[in-house]
Amino acid sequence: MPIAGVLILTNIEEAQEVLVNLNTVENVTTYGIHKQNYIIAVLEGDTPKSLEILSQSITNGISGVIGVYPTYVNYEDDEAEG
Amino acid sequence: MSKKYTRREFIKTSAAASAAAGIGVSLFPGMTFANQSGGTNWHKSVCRYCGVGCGVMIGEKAGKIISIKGDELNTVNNGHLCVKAFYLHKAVNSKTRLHHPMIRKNGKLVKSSWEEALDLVATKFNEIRKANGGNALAFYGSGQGETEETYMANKLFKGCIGTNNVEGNPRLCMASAVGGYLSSLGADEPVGLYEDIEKAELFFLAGSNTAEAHPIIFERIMRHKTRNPNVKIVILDPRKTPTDQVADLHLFPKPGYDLAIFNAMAKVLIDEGYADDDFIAKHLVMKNGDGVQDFETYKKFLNDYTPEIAEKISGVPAQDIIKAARMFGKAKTAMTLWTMGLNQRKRGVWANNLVHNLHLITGKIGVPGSDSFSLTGQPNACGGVREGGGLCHLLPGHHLVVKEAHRAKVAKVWGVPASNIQPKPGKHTIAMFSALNEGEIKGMYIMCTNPAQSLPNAKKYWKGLKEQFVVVAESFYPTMTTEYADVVLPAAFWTEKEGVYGCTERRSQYMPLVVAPQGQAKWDAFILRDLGKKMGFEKEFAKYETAEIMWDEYRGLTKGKDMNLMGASYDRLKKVRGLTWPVPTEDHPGTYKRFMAGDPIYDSKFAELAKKEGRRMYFYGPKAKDGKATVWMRPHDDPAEPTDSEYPLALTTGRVLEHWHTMTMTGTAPELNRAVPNAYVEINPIDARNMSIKNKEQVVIETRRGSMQFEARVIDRPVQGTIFVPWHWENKPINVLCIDAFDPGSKEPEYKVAAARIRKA
Ligand code: SF4
Repeated sequence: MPIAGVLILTNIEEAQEVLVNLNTVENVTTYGIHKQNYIIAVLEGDTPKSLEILSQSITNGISGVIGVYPTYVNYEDDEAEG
Repeated sequence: MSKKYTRREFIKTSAAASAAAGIGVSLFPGMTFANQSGGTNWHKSVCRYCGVGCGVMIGEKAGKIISIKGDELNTVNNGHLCVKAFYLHKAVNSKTRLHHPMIRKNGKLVKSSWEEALDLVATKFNEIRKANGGNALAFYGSGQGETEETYMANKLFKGCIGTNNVEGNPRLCMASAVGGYLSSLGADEPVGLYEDIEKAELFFLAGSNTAEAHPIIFERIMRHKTRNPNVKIVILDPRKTPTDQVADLHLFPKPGYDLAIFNAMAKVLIDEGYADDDFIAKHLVMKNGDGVQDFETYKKFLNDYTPEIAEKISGVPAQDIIKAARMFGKAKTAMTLWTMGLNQRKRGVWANNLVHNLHLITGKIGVPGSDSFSLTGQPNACGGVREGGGLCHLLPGHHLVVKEAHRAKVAKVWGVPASNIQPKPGKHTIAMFSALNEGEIKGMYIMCTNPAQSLPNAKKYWKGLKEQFVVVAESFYPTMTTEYADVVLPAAFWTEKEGVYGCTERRSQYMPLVVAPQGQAKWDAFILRDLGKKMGFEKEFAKYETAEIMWDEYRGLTKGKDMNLMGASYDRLKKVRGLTWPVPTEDHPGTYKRFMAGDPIYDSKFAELAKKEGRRMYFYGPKAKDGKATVWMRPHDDPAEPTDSEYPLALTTGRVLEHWHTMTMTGTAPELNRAVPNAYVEINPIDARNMSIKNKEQVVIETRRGSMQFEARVIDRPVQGTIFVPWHWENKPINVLCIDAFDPGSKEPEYKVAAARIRKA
């Protein structure tokens, strides 16, 4: 069950809207907008794949998102999943 | 920790805290990462994947890697990583890791002992050498190998066996950048560092899909641009990429036809008064094939490249070329970033020269925020192969095989007779694999790379791999190259060995050994050392008991060179987040800008002279004369295989974000395979309509070298007349269809342009 801390870089003027949208996405917990256009978030998934899909859907699916940048990935109980 | 916290909640808090720290924010005051990471040991290291060189912290518990964290103290990435970080641990623990040596018996690779495998390699190599001479053997390495590994290979092959047939896959990606830096600026590698990004007003991204190929560089550019609306981005690329979402202007040339654009931009810059006359007069010489010329001759040369003429050649509207030139000229500072789109070309060195020209004639070099900055694909192409001398004409530490004094110096340090090192360069990559085909080379050692898939026109070279004695040292099995191997040796992977990587910005960084190698895997440098001993060079390899001994010997060879690493001891590298050479002493902080004040070589040797001549830079590199950089007059030249009525489409190749190179690492993560599961070809909607091809339909791409079936992706990305195929998939090795013509200077193949046609499957 990997968990990742990520920084989501947005266009400055759309940061608030991105935050609102992110809060509707399952397996995403947000921690506010910081330094103008970074949203701190935690992504949860069953496998690294689900983290990947989640971050792709954020990048491609939410207008105003420039990129998703992991800062920490914990795979403590990932091994069981192969 | 509060007792009501579950472990998962706890990890979530840590994850959020880590993200906050990545932007210098404290989300949970009083909480530090160290005090809540539950017995995890953190090891400072570097990302294994690309040439950006991001700092990572590897979380290990009881001998297992359980987490990865961006290193906040590393100035390259400040703790931020790209999505490939999701899979870093997967590569280490992949099911395709090779755990034991294998020898081909009766046509099949079977498990063997180390003793048997190395004995066989040593015996075969010695037999070949005795019967045919050292030049019948060759080494083919990698920009992913550590500097110490390449160093051992260099000593074994160039110093002991006595052949300069030592190459590495950076020949296929960076050689034109090397040629460009040497011929334009007099020395290899960029003047500045990544920190110029935050000071630049204009980014000219030429032949670089930065968003996907160098995501952290892209993030830095974007962070800067979103906060500084005056920052502009100009893209030159035949294909729309995710980088386009932020472009202010995109020039779409026909693949291989952009040299005229650079010349036209130079013409506009001069005609409209953006040239820095003082910088030109004091710092530059103009040259063409006949030698040194004056500025007037250069201006006359540029008359052949008006924007209108460049439009005819490249297909890019003259108005856009003028606009790009004006944006470049008006910006106070500008950075050009480029990768394979310019390098992998029949005229890759020329393309590089023409980029440098733009910076030189406007004086947008050697000032904060301005640089012509080549991006590297592999994590140690710069450190291990360019600096470490892992090519057929080089010796470690920017020494050359053709120079007698260099051979003598290196031979002395290696403890071998100087006569062992041949005075002529060996065979470059394509010549080497051609010689393998022809039986002139009879034995090859391949380390940490997959040439059966990655060579251009790859199928042509499978013959030699099949017929000659081939040894492959690899962490993963199988690869396309191990299919042809006589012996496969299991190599320790990232985290299972220590060593140094040198990234794009002249930064050397230490990577620690964190966990034991899997199975019987061994460190490549030790494999080479032990092979050397078995081949009879016991005395020459006796001393290399540790990685540090190898590194120290290597850095000793850099003393007094432009890439001086004397101040970068292991002790120091273990503490700091890399050092940018020249770093001549242990108390030197490393160098931001070369050839100017602050560069220790400039300060100690050239500052006075420069001052006397009223100059702010002195290009002191080995290929520069009188400290001057060169503006080259490089004419337009067609690609090696222009499109024609038979093959009307230009085939170009590249990367996607989720994968890396031949997927030996990323392909081991099943999740990554599924993310971009099938190889596909991107076709412009107008071309698709003209050929009645529908999205997702199966099509066959044909070039003069063969054909291959792909799924059509009809998308407004490639410019009309161009098709694009990512090159990662083993079951669809598009490089088989690419041409193996190469740049006459850099010998880098023209992967980026081949004539092709498409039909429905
Ligand atoms: S940008 Fe390159 S070095 Fe940085 S995390 Fe991504 S793959 Fe690794």
